[in-house]
Amino acid sequence: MNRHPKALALVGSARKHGNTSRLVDEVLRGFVELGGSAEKVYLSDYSIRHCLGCPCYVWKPKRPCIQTDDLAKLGNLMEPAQLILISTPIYWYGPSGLFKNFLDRWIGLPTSVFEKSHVAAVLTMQDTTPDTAGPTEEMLRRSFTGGAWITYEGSLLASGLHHTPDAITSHPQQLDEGYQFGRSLAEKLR
Amino acid sequence: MNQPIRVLGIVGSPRRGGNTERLVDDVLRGSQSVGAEIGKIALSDHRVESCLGCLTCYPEGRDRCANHDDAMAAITQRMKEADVWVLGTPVYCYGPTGLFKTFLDRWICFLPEVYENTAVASVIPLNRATLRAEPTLTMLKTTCQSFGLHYLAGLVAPDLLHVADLDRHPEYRVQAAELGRLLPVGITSLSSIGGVS
Repeated sequence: MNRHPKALALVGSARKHGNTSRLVDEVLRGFVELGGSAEKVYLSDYSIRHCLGCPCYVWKPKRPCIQTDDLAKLGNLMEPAQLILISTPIYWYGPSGLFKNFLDRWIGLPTSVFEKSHVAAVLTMQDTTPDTAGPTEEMLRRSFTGGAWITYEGSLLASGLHHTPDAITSHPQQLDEGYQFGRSLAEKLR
Repeated sequence: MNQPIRVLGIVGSPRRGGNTERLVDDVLRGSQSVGAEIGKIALSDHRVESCLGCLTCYPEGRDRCANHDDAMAAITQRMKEADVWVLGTPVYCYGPTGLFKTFLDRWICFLPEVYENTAVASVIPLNRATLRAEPTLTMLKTTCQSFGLHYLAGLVAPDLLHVADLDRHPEYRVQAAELGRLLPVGITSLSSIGGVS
């Protein structure tokens, strides 16, 4: 419990002022209103190479990932946060490649980065069929549940967004759902 | 048939010579044994940047990405020349690898001539149980549907984690070769291959 929980939002869309980023802003607004603090970063500002599939998962004790990119920097930002708010648009029934490269690399981060962390997700898409987000929701749910360190708080989906970056501004209800999602996350973590 | 069927393997594992690539190779050898022409691209050998979502290419497609002058143009050309794509990715975090997904996102640029009359098979190795391949398989199948590609069959191969784990599962290699032999047949009689895998 913490009266002023910290959130780190990681935007998994390459569009900085796109729908994903705007919806994340609403979640953070709700979160901060209930006493939390928040920081937002764009994955596209960081160099994130893809996981090389070398066996870091068998090394005991754990060794740092051999890639020399910005993942450690992101890990340092994630470590003090109680809430890690991940986000991605749906591209071809899955997360963006940018986001997936990032997610694949969590295996190489020190466990201290996630200890007692809560993870929640924001998903956006043009499609109106909920099934379109199904594989991504399933992928995230399965990735973040069952582990010893992370509590998964679920995902918020905004659908039916035209592909223009500001489409969500004409969906006040979806923005409000983001805001309420942020409030509920802050309430849980306080 | 006058022209041999052209089968192109695309490996989305970062490991060269790992389980994914070996199984894709088995599929390709199977196809070659029945007269197909084969080729292979290991995505890890190429620079493929992530889609910026600018949508300059959407929805008509475009001959080149407006942002990235990377290997995707050459890869696209080879995909256009093939009749069948064999897409291989291991399951990482219940999805395709970031390497593969980054490549898949770039399909948005494809002009119809790249994918018209093309068939697809997939090879999905994973650690532990088959169930965990579902999100990956659904992503691949539904994406193929969106393009009107003929998704023929997929080989889901559980219990493969380390590089040499395939040695414990010779049955997958047999299945992969069988899949490869059926692919050229699948092109000419799509309906008859419905029950495969």
